[in-house]
Amino acid sequence: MENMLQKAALKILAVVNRDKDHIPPITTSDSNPFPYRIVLNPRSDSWQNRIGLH
Amino acid sequence: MEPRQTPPEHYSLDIFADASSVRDVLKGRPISFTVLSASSIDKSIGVLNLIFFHRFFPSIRPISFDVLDLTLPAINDVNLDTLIDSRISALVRQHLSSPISSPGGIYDNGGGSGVRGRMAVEFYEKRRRRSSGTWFSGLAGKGEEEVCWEVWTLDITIATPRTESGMRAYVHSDHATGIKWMLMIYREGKSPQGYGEYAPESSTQDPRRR
Repeated sequence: MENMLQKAALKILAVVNRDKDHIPPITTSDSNPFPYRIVLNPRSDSWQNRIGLH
Repeated sequence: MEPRQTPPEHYSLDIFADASSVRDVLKGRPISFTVLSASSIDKSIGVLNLIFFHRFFPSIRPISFDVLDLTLPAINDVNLDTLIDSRISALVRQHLSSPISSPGGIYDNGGGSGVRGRMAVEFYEKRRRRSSGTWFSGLAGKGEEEVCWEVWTLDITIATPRTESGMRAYVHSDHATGIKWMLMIYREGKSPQGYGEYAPESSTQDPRRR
């Protein structure tokens, strides 16, 4: 399990440092410019995803 | 600026944990060892924290850990902590209530050795909604829409030993003890040998009782 976690951590670090160009510019003065969601058992074609609601 | 036309970047991670440590792996957990409290901070590292550190842009006080020649960061945000806690609790409840004995169930990994769940972390940008000229467009709120620009999908397997031999293997594999010590290393950036009497005496010792 340690190996799994280390592998996951390394993958995250590699991706976040490599792929930055798609991060949108910050155009708002909101304290959190990029809303986030954590979804359990997401469905890619769900109606929530299509209309952007929780 | 034109609205995003490309689909969001999508990344996936395979996470494996037993039921007792899935929260540690995903979020991290404070360690109650008083010997560590004087010099440590009250949070350990999990996969979700690691993602959010790099994609979370409010003003935060970053913290970091040196571990295994890596410096891993985390953040301290109450709202995010609450959200992560609620989702992990839901995942654990799902795990506990899943009919893992039913083959082919949506959460059965097929091998019968664990229960699978999926968690997605999605990041959005707010865009001013373009005047589409369509009917009812004025009813859509403040004229903003949220457009996803990045998705992390975590395929989480929660191990569940189903046989006596599997349980023995689970106990002797030192899963929970290992993750506990790894988190301590994350926290202190030290070798577990340095903790002397606090090192576990036996691999079969229940780490939750320490």
